[in-house]
Amino acid sequence: MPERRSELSDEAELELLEELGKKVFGLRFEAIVHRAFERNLLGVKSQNVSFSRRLDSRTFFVRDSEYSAGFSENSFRGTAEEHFQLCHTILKRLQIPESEIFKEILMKEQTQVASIDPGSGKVTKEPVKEGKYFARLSRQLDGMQVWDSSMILGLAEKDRIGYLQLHWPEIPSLVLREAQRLAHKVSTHWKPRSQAGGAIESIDAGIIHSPAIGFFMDIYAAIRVVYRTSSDQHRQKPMYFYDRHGEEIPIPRQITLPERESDRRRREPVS
Amino acid sequence: MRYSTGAVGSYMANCGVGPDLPFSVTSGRNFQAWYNLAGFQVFSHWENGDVWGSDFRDGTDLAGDGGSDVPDVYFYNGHGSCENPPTATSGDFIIVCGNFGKPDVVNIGNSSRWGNDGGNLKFAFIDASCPMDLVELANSWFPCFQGLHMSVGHSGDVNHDTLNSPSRGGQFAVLTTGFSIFIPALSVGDAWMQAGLIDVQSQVCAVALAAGNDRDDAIDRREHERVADGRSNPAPNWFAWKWVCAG
Repeated sequence: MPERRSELSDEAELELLEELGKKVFGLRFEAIVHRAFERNLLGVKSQNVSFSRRLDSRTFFVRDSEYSAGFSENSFRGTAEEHFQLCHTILKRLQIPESEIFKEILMKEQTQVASIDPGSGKVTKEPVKEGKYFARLSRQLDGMQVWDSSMILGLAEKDRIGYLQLHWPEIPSLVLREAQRLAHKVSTHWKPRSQAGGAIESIDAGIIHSPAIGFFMDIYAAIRVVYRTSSDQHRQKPMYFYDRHGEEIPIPRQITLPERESDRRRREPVS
Repeated sequence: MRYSTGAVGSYMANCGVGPDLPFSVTSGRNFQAWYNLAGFQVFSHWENGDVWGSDFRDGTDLAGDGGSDVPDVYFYNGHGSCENPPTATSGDFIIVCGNFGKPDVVNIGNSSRWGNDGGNLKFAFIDASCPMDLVELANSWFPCFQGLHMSVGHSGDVNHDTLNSPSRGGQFAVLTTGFSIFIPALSVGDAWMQAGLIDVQSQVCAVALAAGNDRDDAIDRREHERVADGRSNPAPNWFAWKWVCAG
């Protein structure tokens, strides 16, 4: 059944978003002070709460300004169960099956303070304290990771969201099918190319896509290969994303990159 | 405010060590694109061999064509170095592969000072391997704060390292600048606690460090200072930091 024309209006879309915020995310808006479309976002904002979603992806953002203005050490710290329960409820309301959760972890910020004695330079450290808690959920589909999907949730109080970024885009069936084929290849005969200065650490098939904030939503099936460095000194592990032929796939975009001047080179310093 | 990026992905061809990092240049350009969109002015945006070790060493870091102490914000992506395990004196490093400005290895605690002698740097964003090991902060990082407001980086070891990410730098950038009224800028510390854990191995920690005139100031900066706040330079009497580790 096609939507009625009035349901396709901007106004109707923003009203639907507000309803979604209340019913799916449990948001309690005071008077709405702003409703708008901006680029690929639509959002509603009350005095303290911003709620927005991407137009091109199943991606939602919640920001509570009171929560941001607070201090880590005074933040609400619910249990892992309280955090995960709310995450599960939101995912269920969005009709995202729990089976897509790959891993869920309650991350705990740690904080510390130190003073420097101006005369002696002696450093005096205070004890480590706990800061904000965040639930971070990662995603899988059919046993393969969707590396760029995630849900991050911080609670302002029990059942009140202080910070949320839910980036869980719909994956086209053809991309999932290709990822399944890649997984099969990895399990049988597929070998990645070597990278000078690196040794293969891990090979996994999965899905990559554009990150949460951005103007593009690129999605690819990929074989991710992480290389460990063979240098004793140089660290930061390269990872490459290959297609079934062993060719590098395009990097999912987030924003249009600046143009580069091809002849731009830095000159030798004059001593 | 002015910002710079330094992104090094090419190591093998000119330095014979590595490996190369395929997404460093993209990461720098993503950072640049978001900062340009937010209205910041670019001071320099060098890549590969045009990023020099001398850019990060006190005495040469005010070079008019790319010194790291000239802009207000500097984002670096490239190799660092990790130990197994790090100790309080093992050092934190930036490792480039420069055409000039040798040597390529910068021991941050020994060589880097930001905000001194007319330097401007307020925010040092070092997206490398283990450039801010928790056990080394006092030796490697406290002395660098000569006007610097905040730094961010990772703590880890040889077996728990950052992955060269196509996403992390750009997402951190846009979290610090904000995007629309619906995604307002986070504080530098909060932005790194979110973006710093993108594409890292387990037990790697995202670390954010702030200096302050006094205890409350240091804590307030760690929690709330945003890139565009325009706060004055702190005297480095106190430090406050926070970190969160990947599970």
